[in-house]
Amino acid sequence: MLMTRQEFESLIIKANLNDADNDELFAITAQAIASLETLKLYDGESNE
Amino acid sequence: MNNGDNNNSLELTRELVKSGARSAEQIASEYLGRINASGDNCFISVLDAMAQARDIDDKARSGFDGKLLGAVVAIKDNMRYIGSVTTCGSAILTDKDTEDCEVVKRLKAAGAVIVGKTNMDEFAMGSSNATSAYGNVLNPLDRTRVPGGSSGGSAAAVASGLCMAALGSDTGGSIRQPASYCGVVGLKPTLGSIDGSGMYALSQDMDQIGPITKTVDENRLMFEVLSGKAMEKAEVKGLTVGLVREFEHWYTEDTKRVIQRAKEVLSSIGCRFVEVSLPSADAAFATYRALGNTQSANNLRNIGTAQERTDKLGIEVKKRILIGEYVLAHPEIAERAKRVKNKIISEFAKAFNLCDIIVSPSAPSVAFKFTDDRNNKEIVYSDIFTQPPSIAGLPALSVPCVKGESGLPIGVQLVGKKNAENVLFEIGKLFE
Repeated sequence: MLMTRQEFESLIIKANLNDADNDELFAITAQAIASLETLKLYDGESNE
Repeated sequence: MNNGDNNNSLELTRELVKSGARSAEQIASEYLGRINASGDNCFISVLDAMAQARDIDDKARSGFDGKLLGAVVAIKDNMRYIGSVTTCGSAILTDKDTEDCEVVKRLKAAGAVIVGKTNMDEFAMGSSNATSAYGNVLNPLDRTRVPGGSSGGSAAAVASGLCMAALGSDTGGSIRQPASYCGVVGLKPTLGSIDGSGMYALSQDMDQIGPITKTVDENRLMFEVLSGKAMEKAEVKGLTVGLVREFEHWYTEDTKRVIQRAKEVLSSIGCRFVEVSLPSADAAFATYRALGNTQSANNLRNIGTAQERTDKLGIEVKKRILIGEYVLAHPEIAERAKRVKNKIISEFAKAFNLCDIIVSPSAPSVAFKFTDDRNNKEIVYSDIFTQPPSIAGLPALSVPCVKGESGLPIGVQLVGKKNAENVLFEIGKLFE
């Protein structure tokens, strides 16, 4: 699961924030979202 | 207060106030003095404790009695108390509460003096108390280290004697991990066993209020008051104790000693140990992240304007809201997380077919330093042992167990079947 900058900016609007230019927030959020990939391993979908 | 041989300061206080040997006002005054003298930043606000204490003394003279008569108790600052601002450790909340939350009502009915509201990670999002808008709480055992979180102010306040007991809330480890770091006793009760009405929700499917105390007996009494359930004595000799195979790869020299100590203590009463398996335990973190943050994003959606949110919310809260929004935009992730959650619940059920309780360390290390690299494995995954039982809604008690690095405590986590808190209390006492 990779979050693009464009998707980040869309989420920022949904979250009612004005942080579209916040690079640190983009970086830590992208890292956290990537970690959700773990779920596939445990849901038996690792070979998708 | 010098407890003498009684390891239950709550019962002792009740006897003193009931007999007139000491007044609730005198006792509250002592604790307020300690709070004012403390530099550990455990409290965000101090309440009208002297007025409460005088009211309790008046009632006691008229024959009123309660299980917590005159006891000095703190609450985490995500629980509403009439007339106070419940900040949730955030700069964005400034309105005064118009009513008490349910647990405050129960504490008041039992005669407790609610002395103040403790510092916490902003909106309970964190494991260090370092995300609070009201500054770091210092661990009273080593002030270069965190107290844990998110109920770090509550655990530190109990550890340093600023209150007799405190309430925390635990969604993935927020009572047990700080209890472990501060060397106190913390209970995450069975999901739903204490009414959380009037508390700001982080993730209502996992949030659970619970008590933090110095001793197991005090914890049991607090749980009885908060849940309204009388704890029947449990027979614990000869129980079967489960050790989780999948936790072993997380063990360090310190946490191996927790298991060793548990074996010594529990073998002495005839318990036997079996290996149990929770194959999905390592997915608890991602499951919690997906499901919990979705609820958090919804819960915080209507707080503040865009500019207020941008200026006043901390980066950890913003991150979690964005994760929640991402999952809401990708419903297949939530569906996957729900399936994994059900697997975790099912794996616990299978494990409890083989054993009566499950034992693990409460945290993978002692309290970390404020200056430690937050990418360290033991910091990123400081809730690794506490999240699986949270997802399954099971009760879990952390009791100080061994001294680890630098002589600091690590707790043992005792996980029970649903509503088996009485078993956890009986076992927990053996570690004191």
